[in-house]
Amino acid sequence: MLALACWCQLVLAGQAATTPLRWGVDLEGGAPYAFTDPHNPQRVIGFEQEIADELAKRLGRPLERVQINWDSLIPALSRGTFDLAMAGIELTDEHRRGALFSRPYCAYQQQIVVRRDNDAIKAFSDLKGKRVGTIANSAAHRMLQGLGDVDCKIYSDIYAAYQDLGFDRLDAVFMDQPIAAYYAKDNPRVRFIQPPLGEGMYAIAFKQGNTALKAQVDDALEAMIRDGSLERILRHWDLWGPQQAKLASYVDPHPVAGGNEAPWQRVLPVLLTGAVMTIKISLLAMALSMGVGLLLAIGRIYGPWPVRAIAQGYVEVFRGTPLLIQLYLLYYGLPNLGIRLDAFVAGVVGLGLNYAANEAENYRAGILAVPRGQTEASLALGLSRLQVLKDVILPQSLRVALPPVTNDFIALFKDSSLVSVITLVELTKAYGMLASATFDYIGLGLVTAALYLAISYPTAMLARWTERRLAKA
Amino acid sequence: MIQFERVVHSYDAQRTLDQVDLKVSRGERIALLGPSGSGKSTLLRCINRLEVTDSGRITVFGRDLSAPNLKVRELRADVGMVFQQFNLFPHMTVLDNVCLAPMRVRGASRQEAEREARRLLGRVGMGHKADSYPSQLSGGQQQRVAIARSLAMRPTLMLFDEPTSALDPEMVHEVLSVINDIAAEGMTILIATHEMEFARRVSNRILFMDLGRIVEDSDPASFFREPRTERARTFLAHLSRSRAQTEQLIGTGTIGPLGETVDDVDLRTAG
Repeated sequence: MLALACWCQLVLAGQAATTPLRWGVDLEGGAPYAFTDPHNPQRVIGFEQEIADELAKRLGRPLERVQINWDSLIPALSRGTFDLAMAGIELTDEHRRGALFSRPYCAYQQQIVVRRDNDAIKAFSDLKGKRVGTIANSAAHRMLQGLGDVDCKIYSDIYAAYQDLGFDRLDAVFMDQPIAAYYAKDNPRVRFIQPPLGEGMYAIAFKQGNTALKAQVDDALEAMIRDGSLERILRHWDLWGPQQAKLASYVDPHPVAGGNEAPWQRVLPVLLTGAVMTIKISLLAMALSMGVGLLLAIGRIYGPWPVRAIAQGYVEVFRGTPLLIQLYLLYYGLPNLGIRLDAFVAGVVGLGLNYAANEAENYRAGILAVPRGQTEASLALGLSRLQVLKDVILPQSLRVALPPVTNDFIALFKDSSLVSVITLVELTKAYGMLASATFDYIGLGLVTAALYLAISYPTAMLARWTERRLAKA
Repeated sequence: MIQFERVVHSYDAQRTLDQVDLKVSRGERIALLGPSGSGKSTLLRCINRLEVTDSGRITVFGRDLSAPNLKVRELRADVGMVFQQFNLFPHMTVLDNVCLAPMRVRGASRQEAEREARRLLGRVGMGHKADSYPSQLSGGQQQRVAIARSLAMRPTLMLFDEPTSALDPEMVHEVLSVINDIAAEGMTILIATHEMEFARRVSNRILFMDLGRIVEDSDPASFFREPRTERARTFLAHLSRSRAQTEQLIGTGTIGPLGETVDDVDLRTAG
């Protein structure tokens, strides 16, 4: 067997030097997988980086790392952007429908982490009815769904989950043990519930049908298990434990039959729930933005100079900075000042305040478009400033402001997908979660797009109808 | 009823009213004449405080307009104003245009306001258009509605700021005859106009203005027969010459009767 391995290396060395081994990974996935060294930003460290280095060496090819968003790993693999993907991808039957997998390189468990002062949670079943942070589609997420009646909060930023635990936005964080070990082990405010539970395995993904590369990588991994180099790497990252015994005894299961179409009866409810969240957030945010925008526009046109300055400053700041940053500050930044907004409230407020800046400008244009004679005639009749505004100016400005306001409303529907960064699962996030579980990016993508259209098209129709009615007057 | 004492008003460093003194008594029907930019509009707009003066003193119905505690809305409710551009509210029906102020300012019920509005619309010959929108009306019709809208507040004084200058010539008459009716009922009226014939007929006092001053203050008969100032004489001469020219042009078929109006011509030559 050793001879065979050597032979492999020799053969591969021939084709090697010229063709690099391209490795797809998402460094934002975080520690301890593969991540930017906090002490030396030029370097990438992590146990996957070390495994990749070792594999490349054994395959006799130079390693080339390709950074890509986690959700795009499998589609990019399929179109040949890189040769293999190793980024904490779980070995599941659903995943095996979408890609070819190597033998696993790491076995892991799930870890419950709670605040030190929380005695209510002693075991997995105690998570029922609690607010629990986790990662979309992870084994931990599926276990929570299996338990039922858990208020799952989905995090893409792992650090934020442990931060929210500290802020009392969560009762527990339930994630892959390697993550918990890295992020929370030294945190004096939290406690690990022992022992870790469940089990899963990470494996390397290849393009369907690329059995030649799979065979080479499997052989190299087997050699690394046998000669202890894999154990050395995993120990280095504090990941070694009895559960890793499974790595050596692993046997490839039979290939999973069928394509990667998502099972609709399971997929649709998730998408529809996401769509309802999108509609709720968008409607509330739009209402907020219209109210605040109107006040800003009025303040900017009619207010005394301090009010005008504040209103103008508001518009410039909120228009000139990314919505994403505003959401981050609102949700993750404000708690440092003692203000803890619920994710839903933060999402509505964030979107609403951001769009208020746009609405203010729309209204302002509308108000300024009303001829001056209208105000003079109203004042001459004895109407108060407020009555002039309410009865004469605003109804007329609506006609000018309505088309851009409608545009913004539709844009807001789509921008609402950004609230997923603060743990809300709306339509786009629901799509992303389903797609990364099933790798059915095209089918699910079309359905999701159709759902967005089903929301925005009637809005546009309604606006056109209103415009026609206003034009008649 | 109205008193101006050494009133000065300027706009962009240019004097629009220059030391104006004026006394108006109840029941007077005053025509303000003079070239464009002579201060006619400004004078009217000072009376309901659409314009604020630089110095001097204006009293209307015994109220000092520069007093800090002036209830400007009460003042305006008692002073009706009709504009050159009508300024009807385009998003409301004719009936709602007339009802709005009585309901909002006088606190009238909708029923009361509508009854009064329909009566006034009938009076200006617009009863049949109560449910139309302003954009569906001709200019003359819009101006008649604007007059009804003003009258609905039961003002004690009416200001007309060139009410026919924006109208096609064939519509001038219908508006003037409505104003004539109002004057005949004893309403106090100030009207800035370029319609000399109308001014002569409807007014009992002429103010001729030039460069922000009232340069002649006399009765219509003597003003039109023999104006006292050189400025008024040239103004009237220009007017009659351009009228004659127009009539000649119409006569030779160079322009039709619906073409350039007398007003248009005199605005340019007299200004």
